Amino acid sequence: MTDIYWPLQRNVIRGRSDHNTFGLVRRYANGALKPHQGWDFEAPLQTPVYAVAAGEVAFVRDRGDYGLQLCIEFEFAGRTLFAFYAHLSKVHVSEGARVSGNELVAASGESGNAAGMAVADQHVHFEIRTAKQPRLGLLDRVSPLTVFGKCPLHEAIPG
Amino acid sequence: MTTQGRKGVAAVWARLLVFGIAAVALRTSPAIAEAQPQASAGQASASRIVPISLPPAPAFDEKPLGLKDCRGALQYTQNKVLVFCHAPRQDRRGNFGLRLVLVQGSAPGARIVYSAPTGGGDAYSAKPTVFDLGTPSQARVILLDHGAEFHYGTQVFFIAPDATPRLAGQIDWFTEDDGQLASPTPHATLTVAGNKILIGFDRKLFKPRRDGSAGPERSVHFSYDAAKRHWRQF
Repeated sequence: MTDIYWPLQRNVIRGRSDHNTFGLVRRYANGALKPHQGWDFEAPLQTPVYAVAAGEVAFVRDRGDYGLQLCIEFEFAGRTLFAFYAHLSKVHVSEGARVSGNELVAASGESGNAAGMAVADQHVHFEIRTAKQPRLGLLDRVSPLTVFGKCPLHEAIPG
Repeated sequence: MTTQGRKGVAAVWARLLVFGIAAVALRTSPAIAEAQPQASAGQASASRIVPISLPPAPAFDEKPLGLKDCRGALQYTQNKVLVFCHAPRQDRRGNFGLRLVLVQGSAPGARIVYSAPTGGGDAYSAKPTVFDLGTPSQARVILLDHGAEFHYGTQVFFIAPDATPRLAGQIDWFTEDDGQLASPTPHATLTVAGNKILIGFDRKLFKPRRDGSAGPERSVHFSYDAAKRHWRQF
């Protein structure tokens, strides 16, 4: 069984709001539901970010609304999954590198669409993907609950 | 010629007649109360308008105005600032999120001259693309992209000098970039024909399904009639 670690030293969903958890949890102004593809962990700028499991760095890139991104491929319960971190400011590992579980791999930031957010809203966007290059929406993604077993929606969980 | 063929020809003539009448009406319409979005003197009619850059307004202060979490303050004119904020007094369920705000003057005498009737919901970024329609109208059109990890939609504003800005319409069509819903704004072409602002795109767009996956692609266009304040998708 793969050892799973939390990505931050202090893990709590941004704003303790279910809008920042996984699924059809977000709304546009007209009330229409929109998917959120992962969890937003509260993380003031430069918060250390850790590998959630031992694995291999699938990619590091800086692009689009996600900004600076890190993706780690790992095995969990007989499946290949991908831990995806976004809006980072710095990544300490390179594509193809092996990482250990709980290894320091990045620092949080406000890259991509997260620029200029209030401190309380600064965050790491975190996804569990079933494909390295997922399709749109919720396709090829699962709730991080699948690997963590619980969601730090109301109380912070230490990493 | 078959009956069907004759019907087809008749339909074409009927369309041409309607377009002709519309064209004459546009040319001869009296001056409209709202500033007319006509092409500038140096521009040919229906020429493509290129976006402009507005300088940042770093001295903008949100606190005296009761605004929250403002970002991206831009110097809209010499004495007006364009900014995107939460407006707690307006925020209600189903009417919340970052909204376009126009502020006149500077602290301590600054005042909000316009705050959009709806915000961007749970989106946490608001990126404007500003088109200046030039003389004689001096009006501007702003395509405001709301997004989070991916694009949420585009509000379209029409702002004429000395008139209340208007939320002209909403573009809820998308393109795809790197496996994410992306804004169609970088692919938009904006032209002016008479009173109408026409927005087209250099590619087909789609609406996402409920789970965010892509629906069927279509060529979509929008028009805003500044005189009638009428927004239309076609």
